[in-house]
Amino acid sequence: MGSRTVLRAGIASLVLLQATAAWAATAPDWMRAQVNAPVPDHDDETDAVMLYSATELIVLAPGKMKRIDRRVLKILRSGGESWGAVRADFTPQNKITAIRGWSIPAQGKDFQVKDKEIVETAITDVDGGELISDVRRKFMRIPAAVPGNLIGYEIEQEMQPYEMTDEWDIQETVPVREARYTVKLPQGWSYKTFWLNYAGPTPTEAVAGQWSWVLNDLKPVKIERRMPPWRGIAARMVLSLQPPGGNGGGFQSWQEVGTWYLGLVDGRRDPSPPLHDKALRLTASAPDPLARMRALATYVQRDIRYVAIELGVGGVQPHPATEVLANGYGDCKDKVTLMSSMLKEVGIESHYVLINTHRGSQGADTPPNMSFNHAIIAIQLPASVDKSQLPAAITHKTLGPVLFFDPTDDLVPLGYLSGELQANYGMLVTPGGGELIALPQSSSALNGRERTGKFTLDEHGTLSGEVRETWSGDGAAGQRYALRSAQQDVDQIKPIESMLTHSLSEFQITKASVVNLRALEKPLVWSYALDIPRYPRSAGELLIIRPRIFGTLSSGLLETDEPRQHPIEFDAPARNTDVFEITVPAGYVPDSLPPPVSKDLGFISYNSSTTFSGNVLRYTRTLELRELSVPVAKAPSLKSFYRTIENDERNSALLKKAQ
Amino acid sequence: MVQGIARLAPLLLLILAIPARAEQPWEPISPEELKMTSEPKAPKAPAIYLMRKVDRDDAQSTESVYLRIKVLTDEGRAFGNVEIAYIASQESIRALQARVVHADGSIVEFDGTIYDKPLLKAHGVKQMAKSFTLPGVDVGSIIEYRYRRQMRYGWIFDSRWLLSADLFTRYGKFSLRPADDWLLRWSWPIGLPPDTTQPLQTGGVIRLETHDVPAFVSEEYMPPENAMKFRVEFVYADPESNQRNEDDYWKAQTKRAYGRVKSFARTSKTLEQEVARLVQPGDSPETQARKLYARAQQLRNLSFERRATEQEVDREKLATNDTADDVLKHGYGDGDEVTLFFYALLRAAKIDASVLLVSTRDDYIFDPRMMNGHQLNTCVVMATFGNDTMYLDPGVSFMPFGYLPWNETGVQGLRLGPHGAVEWAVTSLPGPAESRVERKVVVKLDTSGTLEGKVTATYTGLEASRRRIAERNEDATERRKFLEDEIEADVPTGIDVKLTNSPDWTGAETPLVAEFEFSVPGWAAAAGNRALVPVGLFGGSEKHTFEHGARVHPLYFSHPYQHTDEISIELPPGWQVASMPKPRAVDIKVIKYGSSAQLNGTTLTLKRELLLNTIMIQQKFYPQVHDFFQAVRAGDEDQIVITRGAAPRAAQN
Repeated sequence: MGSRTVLRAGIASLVLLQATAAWAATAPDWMRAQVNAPVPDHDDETDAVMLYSATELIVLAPGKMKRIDRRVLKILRSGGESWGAVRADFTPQNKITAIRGWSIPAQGKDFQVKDKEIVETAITDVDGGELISDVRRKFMRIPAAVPGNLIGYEIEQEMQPYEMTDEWDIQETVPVREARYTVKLPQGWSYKTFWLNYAGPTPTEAVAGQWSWVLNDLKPVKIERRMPPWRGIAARMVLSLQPPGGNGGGFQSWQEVGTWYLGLVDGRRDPSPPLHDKALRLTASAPDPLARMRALATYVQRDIRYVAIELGVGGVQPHPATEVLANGYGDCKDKVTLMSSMLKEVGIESHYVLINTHRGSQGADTPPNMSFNHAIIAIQLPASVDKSQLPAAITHKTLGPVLFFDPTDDLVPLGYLSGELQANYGMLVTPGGGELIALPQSSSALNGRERTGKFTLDEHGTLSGEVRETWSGDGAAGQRYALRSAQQDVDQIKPIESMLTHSLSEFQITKASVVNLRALEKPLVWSYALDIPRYPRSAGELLIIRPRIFGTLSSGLLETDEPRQHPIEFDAPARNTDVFEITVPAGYVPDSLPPPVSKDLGFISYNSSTTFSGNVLRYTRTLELRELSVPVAKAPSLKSFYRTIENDERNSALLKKAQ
Repeated sequence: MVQGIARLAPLLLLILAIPARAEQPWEPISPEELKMTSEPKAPKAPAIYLMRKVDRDDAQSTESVYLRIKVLTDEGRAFGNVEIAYIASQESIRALQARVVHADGSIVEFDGTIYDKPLLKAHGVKQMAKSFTLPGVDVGSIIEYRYRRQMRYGWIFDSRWLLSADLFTRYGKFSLRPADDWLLRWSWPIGLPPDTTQPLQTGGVIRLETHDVPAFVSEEYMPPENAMKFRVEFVYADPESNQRNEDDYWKAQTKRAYGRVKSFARTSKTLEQEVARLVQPGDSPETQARKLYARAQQLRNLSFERRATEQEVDREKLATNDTADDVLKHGYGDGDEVTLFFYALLRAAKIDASVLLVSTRDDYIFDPRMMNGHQLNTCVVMATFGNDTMYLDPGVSFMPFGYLPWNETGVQGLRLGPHGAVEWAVTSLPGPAESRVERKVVVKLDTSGTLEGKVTATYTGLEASRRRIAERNEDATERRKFLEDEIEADVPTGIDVKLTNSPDWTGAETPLVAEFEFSVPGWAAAAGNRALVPVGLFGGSEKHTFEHGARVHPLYFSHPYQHTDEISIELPPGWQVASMPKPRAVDIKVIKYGSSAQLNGTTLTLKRELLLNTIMIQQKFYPQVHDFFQAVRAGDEDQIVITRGAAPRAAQN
């Protein structure tokens, strides 16, 4: 009897589902309205155009909002089919209550994505690869997302945000014909807008408490290599919402954001006896405050394993320092929490700094928000510490000398910052609240590679010699990273082999060693020896020798068909030098030597020279990058600059027998 | 009745005396394991498996796993993060225990949270993972965990022991108790690790112990990864089939498959009429076959269309093809149906042909001794014309007559015949001359060192079909970009290139011809009053080929090929050649390279040829291959010295 009842219920619900599906298989009116919409201007490589983009935000109460996003696209090329694969992330605080997709084929009936076709997955491609996270993703593939057809989708979310702000991303990587945003506020609420990369229009208030913004014919953001984060340069509106009375609304200032975060971390840095003892033990032999900082930094960098368990508010709130110590693991904010707590135990004050590692995502003009993906620490330097020896230090207007340090990055020592953090903006959280500050930019002298090679050419044409490479800064970190992932002896030399192959057709590495692999505070030094058979080419009596034996500093970055549209972003200021000396068999003199090159664009410079003295052919060059961001107007000169380097790299010296 | 209870009592007491979930003790750890800091057989390893035990019981549908990992470097501490995936509706993970044993012997039992992490939910299937992270894992620590995978009772499927793992395995122990009522076959396709004795069945359980299994590494140009891992494969078969030996097994497979093919490709009046419509009475059998092949390729090939969603497929309501007649009537078929339709046409035309079941070599290295019929995953037609046998597969779009797609070439196939005899054949492997890339370049060199002119690239055979297949669903813009990018990638410096013609993307029998306008700024480098012109204009593809000195796996290529370049360079007025490099020829039998430069008046002619005539090279020959590609790069870097005005006599070669 029981099973018959279940069966009947099952049939009834099935019928209902089918009826719903049949009714809903027609695309909604807002999508159908776009069928005859004109296609915005585009080039022949444009995969799709967005005909309609609408976002509606309904504020329900402090900490409670509902948002509906609707999009309609016309697929123009097969590459545009990927727009039919729609992904939406959600968390327990940010639920997706509905996700629907349709297509209107150029011929035939509409399609609608069925509920059973929607896939739910864990997020596997997030920064750091969290072990446990409650961020999930819904994914749907809209049928018939092929050239000529319209696709559309709608996503409804119920949000319980930590901050009463919303963002409207207006521009896309395809042209947008019409973009609209509507906010509905309860009585007494107000809003404030911040426009980024766009001069926003005045909204219309159709009915009381409901405002709309409409923009038309927005150009696409073209994706280029080494461009700033595209969302950072695209048109965007940030909406800060305020309830009556002003409490529980969106952030109005960075100070407010910091104060809110301070509440989250309250008590998390409280010590325990084991933590206190551990801090003292680690610093017992440290003679001064800087040595104590180094001891604790090394411990947190190396001994606390990076593991992220981020559930609920755990995405922004760190675990208590005592727990991190006991577990021996934690994520970036956990590491900052433990280090800050330990520093306090040895008499040194420190503060959280929240930052986005995609430099350009947050800027001086960015309105207060929590779009950070990383945490580092700001250490207040005691008076006895010489700040001038610490490139990652600044003088703060109220805290005095402050040193920034990233305890998650186990390849960059205390005193330095990796390139992605330099000249980036982070929120410093002090007892007084938050403050957006610019992190320091290091000198190019602190990052790069000095390579010296001394070679001898024998009468058979084999060039043999030894090379010493001294790596510092991000360059050293990159080498250390590559070396530590080597699981076998033969893997260790592979990066050198690849680099040599780029310039040399034949070679044999006869020995190789690396020092200071673990000593982060020292430069990493590679020493290797190699034989290069048949290095010079002969042309009658002439010997053709390329004085730049190996190593590539030129770049094809700007060798594109289309003119550059965005600034060029570099990882970090850097200086790379090469010195090659080739002792040639006696009796040769130069017939011609490559001309010296000296080019300085201000933000970057290159110098090279080739000399011949005694029987030594000597080549030296230096490439120095001084700025992290190069304006687009300077792209043509940078392209020409790289071509100059490429020509220099290919130049040869011609030697002839002395008469 | 009372007596009965009394007799059971001692047994009951015994059962009660054992805890309901008796915890097995952890296996002892030796002092050497505690103290070790490295493994000489795996230097630089971040961690190693000290022990891997997998005990599977298909009679009870369980699998017990016990892993012991030694952490040797900081990076190895990541093995303290554990994720065990499972399918929620089919299996569960039980009795999960973990601990960390420090180098000093102190033990920390794991009592932290085990998270049940959802990985994927789709179409009623929920993939989950048990996730946990072990605290206090240091370099020198030993991580141990064990669990039991309880599968749905009675759920029997083929399984494997994967002896090669991501880490070096010092000791591995595997066992399998087969399910009752099924016939189980097992095999070890690429052999076993050195000093490992083959699996033995004792007491109804198959067992194997192994030692010192290297960590598996991936390399460029290697055979299918799974085929290169040490493993033992278990295949269940119907005990009624009486297929205990290889011959019986394949006889049964042949009989079954032939029955299906025969039914599908049975001749009919419709097919005969179609053949009559297509061929002329005087056509030779091969000419007839070509016409019928072309007809088969005209069909809509569903296997080469964009992957449609389920709804699109449902809406189209394509009728199934049960016979070749259906294929003709409907005008479409998937790849195998198109091939079988062609076979049916051949039969209707009375041409000697049979169907060969083959295993594509991108997925498998097929070995009939493994007795795994599932690996025969596609079919080709074997046709005989006089003394010639041809292997044909019109089920692959853009495949010229006489060619097979690369993954069906040179593979063993089961020939299906009416007598049920087991007959193996090896499909043809086209020679290098049958798949060519020919580039003809006519350019002028200006005084700034820039080359400017035209390139004509002609792709034939598998080189043409590969490109047509890759771009079959793309538009003209994307195809133009595809061809231009290829040329750019082949030239080892920045160039400007623009496609100027409309290549034939739809043909199968015709070469794919692409014409470009082309300039290479600064190709000739200035050296005083001379300029140096490298001869290897299209050496970009070989720039980084086999650049590393060490190699673990054999080298594996898709197909033999021949790439030839002929470049005519008109020198700037008043410039002369001062010296030219000697011709180069490097030949290691299966790969050949040659380059030469010639001067005719004021025009330099550079020729380059690279020829591959194999699909597999054993690892022991890697040094020769490595040296070969070094020699190729050296040849490409040869330089012609040109000079303004008359060439100095002394500088002429």
